[in-house]
Amino acid sequence: MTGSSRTGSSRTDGSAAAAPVRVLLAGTGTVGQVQHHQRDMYLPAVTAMDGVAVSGVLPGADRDRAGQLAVQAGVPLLDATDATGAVGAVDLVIACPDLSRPAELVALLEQCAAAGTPVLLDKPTLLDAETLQDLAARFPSVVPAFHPRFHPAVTTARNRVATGGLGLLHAVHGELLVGTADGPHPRGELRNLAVYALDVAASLIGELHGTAHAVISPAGPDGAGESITLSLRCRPDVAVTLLVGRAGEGSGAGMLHRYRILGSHGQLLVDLDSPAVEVIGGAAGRLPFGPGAVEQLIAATLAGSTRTGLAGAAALTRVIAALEESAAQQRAIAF
Amino acid sequence: MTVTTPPLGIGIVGAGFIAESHALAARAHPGLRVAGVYDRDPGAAAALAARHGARAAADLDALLTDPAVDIVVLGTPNDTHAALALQIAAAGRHLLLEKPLALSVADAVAVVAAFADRGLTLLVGHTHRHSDYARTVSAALESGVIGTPRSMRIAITAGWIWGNWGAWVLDPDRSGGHAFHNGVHLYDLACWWMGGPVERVFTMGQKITSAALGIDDALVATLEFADGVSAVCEISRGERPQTTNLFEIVAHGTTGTLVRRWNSDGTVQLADEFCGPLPAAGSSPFTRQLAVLHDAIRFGTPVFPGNDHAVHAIAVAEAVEESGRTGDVVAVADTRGAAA
Repeated sequence: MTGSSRTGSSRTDGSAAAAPVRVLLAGTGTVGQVQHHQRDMYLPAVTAMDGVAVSGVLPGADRDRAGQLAVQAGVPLLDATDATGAVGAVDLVIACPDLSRPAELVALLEQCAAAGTPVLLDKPTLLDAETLQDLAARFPSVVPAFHPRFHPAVTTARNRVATGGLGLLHAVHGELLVGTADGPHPRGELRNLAVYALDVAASLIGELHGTAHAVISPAGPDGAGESITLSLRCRPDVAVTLLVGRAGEGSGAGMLHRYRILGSHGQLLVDLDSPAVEVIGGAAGRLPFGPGAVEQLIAATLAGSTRTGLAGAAALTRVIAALEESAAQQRAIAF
Repeated sequence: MTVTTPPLGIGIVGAGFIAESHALAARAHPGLRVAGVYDRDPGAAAALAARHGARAAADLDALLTDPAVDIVVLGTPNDTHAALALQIAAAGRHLLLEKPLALSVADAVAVVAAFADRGLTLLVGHTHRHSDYARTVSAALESGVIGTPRSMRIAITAGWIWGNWGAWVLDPDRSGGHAFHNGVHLYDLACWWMGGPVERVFTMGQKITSAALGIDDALVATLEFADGVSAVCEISRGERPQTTNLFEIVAHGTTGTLVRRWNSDGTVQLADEFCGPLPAAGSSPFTRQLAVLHDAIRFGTPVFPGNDHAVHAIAVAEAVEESGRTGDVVAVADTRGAAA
């Protein structure tokens, strides 16, 4: 899933800008995999932000892809052997590691920690659980890049819940149903896609503990990814159901991403297809406005206000493991 | 349609909430008329009969032996359905039986067999199947608009808990719980749209309005079909605001997603007395439902949905209630071949 890059958040005053906040794009994902979030999510988001700019690309295992990214961004492709200098010269590192080379990620995080540079880590739940637990213990302040919880509509909802606007929650029901996009992820859509919705649920409920149930329809030959229906009975008593799926070829780029949040004193209907204006009669359809979820995530990371760390991602891997076990054994699993 | 034979007479048993809808539907069909009404409350029976030009029967036997009554529409509390249905079959009358068919698979099978054995027509009131939206969803899925459906959500939520502590729906022995009382609508739709029987269920039930409730007023069940196809069926009477009704359908397939949004009917009221969507003034599903019954009796066409589907919905409801009690995944009884 890619984050939307939105219009309307461009530089506004036209005055001579202060030196921009510098962002280093480190790595371009796993060699041989289609997913390329630096190109599709983070570069467009940074480009759309006021006072923030990509200052360089630090290659990972795929130097060619990194080179292409640097050209696209109009920034230098840095020397991987000088990572220490590179991470020390920026305000934020956005890391898309090669999942098959965790040692390289560890080295990068050590260099960032030494330099005091914050890190936004793409899809940490794609790492194996042991590696993620280790990273969470050693680098707790690294921010997992689960951007939907920072979507403006979700942020509003989260604040309403946090301040008691709904009373006590009793249920969260959501759908994250996407088009083909990157195609099915080889590590499965629970870790790749459903984790976003799980993180939104966790952002509303708190760390998730309880009982898990999942039904998973396998990826199809037509390019459709797994279809996942999951249920969580979370303590003290919040029922969560999420439909997560990826349609196959020909499904286009549209998505359905919504949450119904039910409480003792009211409910919230949250649609991540907004804020937007609609164009009737033209080809444009919906025109989003305001900052997108990825921009908000980057801004919060820069501000140090995300209040999330790798421990949260590691906790979600325990939920995911229970869901995987439930689907395999056709029974409810405590987590 | 040209009607050359006298209209079939309908006897309504149970003059409660839903009876008026059936009476209006009967009056809208040229081949049907309301002939009689019976209710334990003579006043309620008399009032309903008077509104629709029918006679109020002094007791059930009087209605069942009235030669003007060809069809019974039964809308009594759920725990009476099976016994009354068997009585109606024994009296040789056709039956439109409000859902649920019964409160157990065994009773459901017995009722279906009683009508089949006598050559009588039984139609169970899975009224949603006859509504405009449901037919549209069915046709769209059938056409392959989203490829092969793989997951679904059907959510009907509101806050109008029934009446007061004396309401029979709140008594699990009388209503069977939420799975039987309203859930069967959703389970039947999911089976229809997903095209197959449910194999297993997992339920999360909650008592939202009061911890003292005997039933779960919020009930979320995940139905699992073959090959990992699934449907989340959510039925709730415990939401706030109390008067806000929401109804949503999401179906996800191999090539896309179909959505009936909460405001898909087109009108949303934001007023002091009520905030929420209002139903569109479309076709009456009750009229279509009675037309199905009429045609089955007059012309021998099959009832829709078939009674095997109604029995399966009861099997799903049984499993949903058990899963809600135990917290376990529960297998659904195989009812294939158990009902004609």
